[in-house]
Amino acid sequence: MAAKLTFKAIQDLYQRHGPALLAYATSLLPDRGSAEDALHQVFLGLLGKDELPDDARPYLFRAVRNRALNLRRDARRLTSLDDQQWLVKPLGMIEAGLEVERALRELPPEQREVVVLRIWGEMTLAEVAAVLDVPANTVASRYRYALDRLRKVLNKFEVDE
Amino acid sequence: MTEDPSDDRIETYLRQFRPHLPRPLPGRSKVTLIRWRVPLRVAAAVAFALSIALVSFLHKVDRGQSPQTVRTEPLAQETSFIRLSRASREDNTEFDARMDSLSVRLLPDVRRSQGILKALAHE
Repeated sequence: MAAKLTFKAIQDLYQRHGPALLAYATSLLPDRGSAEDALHQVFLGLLGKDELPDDARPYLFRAVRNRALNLRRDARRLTSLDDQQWLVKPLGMIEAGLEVERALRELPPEQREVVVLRIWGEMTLAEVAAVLDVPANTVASRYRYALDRLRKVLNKFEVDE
Repeated sequence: MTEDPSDDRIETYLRQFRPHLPRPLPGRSKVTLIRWRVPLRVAAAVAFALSIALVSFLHKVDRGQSPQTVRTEPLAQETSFIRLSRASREDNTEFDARMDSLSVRLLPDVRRSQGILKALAHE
């Protein structure tokens, strides 16, 4: 059963999925302003639609991905994620948070987006595969490599304890 | 698909860091404006193009229909008796030229095939 899209429904979707979508767009675009622009364009585009699938997440992530890639292509510049602040660091974990951001920046883009979709998009790897339109095994191996790299980098913060 | 228990630990660790909140969506009125921004621009562009086409069409029509303007002296000036009498006194050539010019305009053309004089001559 598909839901009718009122302005209120769009705002609810935005509040529920906005942060994860922003993190995802930020992982694809050179700055947070562009990422927010991409997000807004997707949500404003929803006003023209009557309905969305019950689970709107994969649709929204796919839409944000397409929009972000278009923006990146239009800007004709390479993604440079230097100095991106895309995560809120809890008190006492600021250094660790900065290290996580740095580690994410250093991942290959295809691994980074899998991590962002899985961790902050809270998707299964099968859902990630559907969003990226690649085989599930490919997603699983990208995720495996990414976690290994992150584990090495973040080892000093005693992640595995 | 993540069966390694250490994967769960690092996932839990990473999830402690929440993504930033995006800036709020624009208000409804602004959204409506943004939504109609593109159609409005298209409509304005079409209206502009149509008005340009219309002006250029009217300009062409105007140019096509307007008779070729021959710069002539006003009739009043030509038929001024003062001028004619002065010309008759001072310059016979100019007087003849003015009379010729007036006669073409004021007198009937007897050589015209459908002229009234021709019709009367037939009768």
